[in-house]
Amino acid sequence: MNVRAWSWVHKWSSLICTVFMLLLCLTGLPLIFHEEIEHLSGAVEAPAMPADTPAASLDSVAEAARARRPNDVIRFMFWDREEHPNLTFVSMASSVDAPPDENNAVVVDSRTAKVLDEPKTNEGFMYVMLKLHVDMFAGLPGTLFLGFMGLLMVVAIVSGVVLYYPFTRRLEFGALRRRRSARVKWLDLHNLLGIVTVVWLLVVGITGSINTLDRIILGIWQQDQMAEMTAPYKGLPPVTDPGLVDASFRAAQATAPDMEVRIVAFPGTMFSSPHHYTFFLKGNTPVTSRLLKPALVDAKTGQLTASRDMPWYVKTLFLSQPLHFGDYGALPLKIIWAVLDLIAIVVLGSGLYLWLRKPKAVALEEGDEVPEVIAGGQPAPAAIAQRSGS
Amino acid sequence: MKHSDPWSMRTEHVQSPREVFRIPVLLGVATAVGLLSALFGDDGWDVLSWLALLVPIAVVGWAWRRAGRAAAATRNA
Repeated sequence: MNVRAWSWVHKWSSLICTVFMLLLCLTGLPLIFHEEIEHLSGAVEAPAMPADTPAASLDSVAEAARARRPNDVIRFMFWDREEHPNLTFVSMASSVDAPPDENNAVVVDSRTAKVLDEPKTNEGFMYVMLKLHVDMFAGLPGTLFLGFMGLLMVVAIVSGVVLYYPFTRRLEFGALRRRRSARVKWLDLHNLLGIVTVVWLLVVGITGSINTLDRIILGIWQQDQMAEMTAPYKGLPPVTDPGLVDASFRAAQATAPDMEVRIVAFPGTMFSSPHHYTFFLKGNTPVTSRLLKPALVDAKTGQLTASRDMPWYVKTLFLSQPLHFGDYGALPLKIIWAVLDLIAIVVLGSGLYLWLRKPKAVALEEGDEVPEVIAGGQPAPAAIAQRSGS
Repeated sequence: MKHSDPWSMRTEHVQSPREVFRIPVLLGVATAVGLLSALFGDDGWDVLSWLALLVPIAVVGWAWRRAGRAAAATRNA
């Protein structure tokens, strides 16, 4: 491919995805700090009690949630012991197979089994940011569309790196020519900020695109490995009034004493079988805390059915999450993530500007060398003629 | 190597791809180290991650200052 072809690829891949990438960069900025923002905006915390206060039975936690929302069923419970110690988050819905977005949250004190809060999960600034970022309020098609835009951005980045050479081979690294036309100034800035953030933006773009496939990837796992593990239960009536939460929890915990339960999916929900609780356990290093391990427990007996490591495609998804969110290196990493995100916004904005200001007229007026580089080293007048003709 | 005008930022010769991409490749390696190290562990690994990811950001700061000085120098010339 010659420089003109790469230039065409860069122009069109960028033009199509830029508006969506700007949306993602802007909405992603507050999302980087969602934990801090939740703390500041007064999300409920467990009241102080002696450190050795024992935890209540999970069956009583489940009862408390059901008593609060008698018409709902529990779909998930989850725990975040670092950010929110002693809290059990219960996610309820009108039925186990209600749409995935239905999430009636009930926060229960894990020690007293008292309901502390029913936070609204579908309103407010952060909810709007999240929805715009994840699916633009368009459900799964919106998510997959954004994933495709992410892949276009990867194409734009790769073609941009190829074009970096003809545009800068007569320039020292990091050249920002301030005393030149506005176009040259923005071109230099676009080239510098783009090349400096290229690896970060590629990683965040690719992992973001992988994350858009999360429901599909977990669906495949469900059809594949979970179906294998639960094959003996095929044809049995589904469990509709799951009990034995605490016994099941202990059975799951026993499979990996050095790990801790992060989430439990109740029978009949997306990440479980109609007959099982699926407990997802996390390890205690940055990597193993992301590579959740499932343990399936019979909801009728509280006995372990099976537990095995996730297949490679789910592990890929799980590791894509921290690399997209930037939430795995404490607050300084989040701040760096935000700075790189702002730089990416300037790259996108300057790229748009460079396209909006037509190059040839400006270049001729102000005597810049743009045509030479675009046409891959041909003498400037020939290059200009070629561009005008295209 | 440098142009007669030290602030022109133009090179005397047409650089090879190896010359043009030398610094970007180093910055890419720093970024990759930064992205991966915080996955390997906490504490020291986190600090390494911050430092490595600050390198590309610092380079932007350096280029920005240099551009300001160059603009001032050519204005006074």
